[in-house]
Amino acid sequence: MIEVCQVGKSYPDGISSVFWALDDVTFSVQPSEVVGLVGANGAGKTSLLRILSTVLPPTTGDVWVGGYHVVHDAAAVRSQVGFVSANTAVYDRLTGAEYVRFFGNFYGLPADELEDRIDELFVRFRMTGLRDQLCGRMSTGMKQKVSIARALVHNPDILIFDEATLGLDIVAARSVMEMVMALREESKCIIFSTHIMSELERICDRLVILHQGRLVAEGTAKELMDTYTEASLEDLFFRIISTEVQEEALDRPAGLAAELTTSEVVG
Amino acid sequence: MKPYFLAWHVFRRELLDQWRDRRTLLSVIFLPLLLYPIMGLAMLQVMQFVGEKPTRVLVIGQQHLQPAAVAGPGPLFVDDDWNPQWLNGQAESLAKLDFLGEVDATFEAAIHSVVQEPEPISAAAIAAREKIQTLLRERQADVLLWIAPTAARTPHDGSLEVDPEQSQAGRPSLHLLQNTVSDQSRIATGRVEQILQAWYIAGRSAAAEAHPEVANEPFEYAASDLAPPAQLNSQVWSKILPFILFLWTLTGAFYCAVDCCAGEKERGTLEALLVTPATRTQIVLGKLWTTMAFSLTSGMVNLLGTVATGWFVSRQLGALAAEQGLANFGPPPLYALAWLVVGAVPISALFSAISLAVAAFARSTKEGQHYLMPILMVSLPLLTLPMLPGMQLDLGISLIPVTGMLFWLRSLLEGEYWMAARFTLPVLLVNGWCVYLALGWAVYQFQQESVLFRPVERFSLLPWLVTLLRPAGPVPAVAQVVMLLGVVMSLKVILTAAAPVPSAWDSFVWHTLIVLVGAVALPPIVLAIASTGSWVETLRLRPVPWTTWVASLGLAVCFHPLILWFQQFVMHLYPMSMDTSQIQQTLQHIVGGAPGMWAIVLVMAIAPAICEELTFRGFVFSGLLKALKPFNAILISAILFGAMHGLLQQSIVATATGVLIGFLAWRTASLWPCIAYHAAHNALTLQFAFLNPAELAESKWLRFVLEFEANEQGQLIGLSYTPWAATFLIVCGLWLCLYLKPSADSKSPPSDSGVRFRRTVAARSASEGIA
Repeated sequence: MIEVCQVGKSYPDGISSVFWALDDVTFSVQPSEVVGLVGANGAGKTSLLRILSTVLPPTTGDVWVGGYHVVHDAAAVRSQVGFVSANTAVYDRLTGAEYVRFFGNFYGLPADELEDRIDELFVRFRMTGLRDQLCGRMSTGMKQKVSIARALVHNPDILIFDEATLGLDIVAARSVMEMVMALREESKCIIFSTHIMSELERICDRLVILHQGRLVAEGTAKELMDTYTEASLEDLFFRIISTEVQEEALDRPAGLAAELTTSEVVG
Repeated sequence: MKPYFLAWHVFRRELLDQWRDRRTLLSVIFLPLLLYPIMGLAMLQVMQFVGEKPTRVLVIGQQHLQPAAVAGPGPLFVDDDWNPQWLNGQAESLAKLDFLGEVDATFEAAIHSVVQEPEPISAAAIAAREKIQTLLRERQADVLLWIAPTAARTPHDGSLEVDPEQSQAGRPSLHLLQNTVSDQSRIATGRVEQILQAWYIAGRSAAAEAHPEVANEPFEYAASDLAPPAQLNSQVWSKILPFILFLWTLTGAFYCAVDCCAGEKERGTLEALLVTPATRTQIVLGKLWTTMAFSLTSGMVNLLGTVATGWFVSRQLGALAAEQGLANFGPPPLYALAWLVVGAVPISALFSAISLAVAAFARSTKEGQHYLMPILMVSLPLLTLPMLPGMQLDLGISLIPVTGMLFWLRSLLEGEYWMAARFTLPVLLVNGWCVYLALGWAVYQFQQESVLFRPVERFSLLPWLVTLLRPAGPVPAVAQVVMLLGVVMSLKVILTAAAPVPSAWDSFVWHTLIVLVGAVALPPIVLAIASTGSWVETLRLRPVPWTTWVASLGLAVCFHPLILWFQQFVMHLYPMSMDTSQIQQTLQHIVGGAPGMWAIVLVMAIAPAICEELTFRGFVFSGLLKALKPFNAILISAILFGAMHGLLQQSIVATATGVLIGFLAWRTASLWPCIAYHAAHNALTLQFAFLNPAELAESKWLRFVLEFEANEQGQLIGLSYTPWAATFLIVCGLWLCLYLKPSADSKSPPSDSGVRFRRTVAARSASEGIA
């Protein structure tokens, strides 16, 4: 369903140098699979997810989503993908239904089919109260729920969640997680990026761990915990990242190897 | 704690925040520093249009003046021109005379009836009035000076009768027929009245000396306005209304565009839009239509407000205005609104597209609003040009974006439909092309991830300057190119002011060399050594085979007919103002003192070629080629090269020449062919300026190649290649272009030696804004 082959992504850094946010990342996601994307801040998660949703082109490598290349067949990729970011911004002066309808029209759905779909989404995710409410008057959690409805309006096979529970209170976060769980039941292919390990344990079939732009570990939670002999995902993540930072420190010239601190490990 | 400590604390943080915002600093400090030199250059270009233009005076009935001319203080005309005695230093050409030789008596009678009847009733007077109005409207003459047979009157049979008593008194009667709707006609009237006043004063003095007992008037004078009443009323409004409409269309477009682009980025809703199947072009088009809708609404609402206020004020002050002699001040014509709506649509599209492209660049609405001032600064000269006196729609004006549209609307409002119809196509084509370019730019901005997802930038002046001067690659970065251009421009202004004003050949040589070497050649050399990895590569000082040298020289010769033709076309579109022509004459006089042609070629052809090429096809081109596609690099370096030339006409021709030299620079990947081409081109142009018509006429070879025209004084007034020679040379030039194979350098990808992989904690935090 998703093929990521040796992907690199660089950004300009200063006048004539570049910063590589992703470096030689390769993995794949199968249909009906939920993959958790884990990494510290600045690991390259958002860059990778933006590449998958065609918002950014990769600097090197290739990515196929649903059988289409993200650069050469971007329009086909977009019609199959639903994208929800950590940013809960919505159009403040539209109501919940108007907001979802606006995005639904991009996918060429017939008007009555679109209305049925909007009704279905608002009922299914228990947010009929938001239908006629201005987005500007909604809470952060409500906005995120409307955003998820927006991403689902065209019933995509692939869903990308980029830290979708970031900044939400415990009630709103649980509500969003329930929506994702429901989608999991529909056999959607989902990539879910988060910092919260408990969320990963609940929904992900497999984990992809990024550190400073590189893929450092991949597998099921159990496989990874067995390999690294750690009892929890949080310890596992810290262990993997620590190993990476230590290896980097050893590569530094003698005398410059700094003592590792927690802040250096997690960035 | 001191009472103001916390306020000071807040102030410091706010200051630090602004100081670290690169765009704010750019807008508040660096932009004004750059803006005023640029505005100075723009003013120079505008002055081209402001300079005094010759006016045409059609004289009818000169024969009636003869007795008075003999008896008075001196003739008004000498050898079919003004008597220089009455010009008071005014250049003769400012009020150029045309004499209508044989005037039939019926026409003269009709003129008389026009003068006598402000609102003609008789068919003959109406016909005559229309005939004269056509003469004035079509600029066959700016004013008509009718010297009437003394005390003439028109009886009913239409013939002209002369009062014998007054005729014998020899006092001529002068009538000036003008069209006050036309600025040019009003200027011409002013000039002629000055001349007549001088003649009148002299005539009075002469008469007083001859017959002190009688206060004799030397002549009778009257002026008649033949402007149609409807046009009189629209004259004031035809300037005000389009200006107001366009200004508010621009303002409305800008604020909406900032909200649509920077606002959407700031609110974080853009990403969801980018993930939809809509292409970037579709998104930009949607935003363009929104911006246009608001821009048009803003323009039209302001227009309606102005029209309504105009109606109110004109009704209240109508009587007072008539008393004050402001007879032209009336309510704005309602049909004007219809024409303004027609003109507002394309101009709103242009302003909306430009605003979108600029606003897309801004990260926040605050930053976006900083960009309004530069846009206004660029637009205002174009918007105010039509307000200047004496300017009318012509082909040259119609090709200027925005200004052409304003003039076109003005013609429509003044009822000059034929003139507007003639220039509709160029006006719409130019503005349509600008909309296309601006829209393309906006779409391009929306495709740039660096524009859409620009992170927060921290700016520190010293590290930034150090980075700017630090060699980061073999060729300069775009920022370093911008720095060089700023240095060159500033030094050119300073050195031009500081160097001795040229009055003779020697001082001219010093002046030229100081400015060229100090401002144009040294900065790229110093910066190439100090701020780039390889000054040889930056300045593109690669050796080329001798055949390339020859081909470059050949190209300059072969394309010279093309450039010469283009230069003549530009001069036809935008004729030199009289002030500029005088400066050029002074310069020619100075250059005339040179020891020989070799010295002129050395100082005015070879030295500029070396210095300018080091900057534009050396440093600037190598920097641009690293960041842009070759075509864009050639075009931008050519435009910059053109902009460094002071005069509009020179700038346009230099830009065209810059494109040819840029092509050569790209094909050969070396500066030497560019210097050869530039020097040969300059030398040829200089040689042409000093050609002697007598020598041309004698030489069979030159007559085969060149066509020329000389005036009665034996001065060369027109020179061009013969069609055969031009065709042959251009074909040879095209063949030479094919001969110059693309260099390996022109095909290689941008150098990546400046790329550094940075995997530090600091770099990670820098990426927070992106990832």
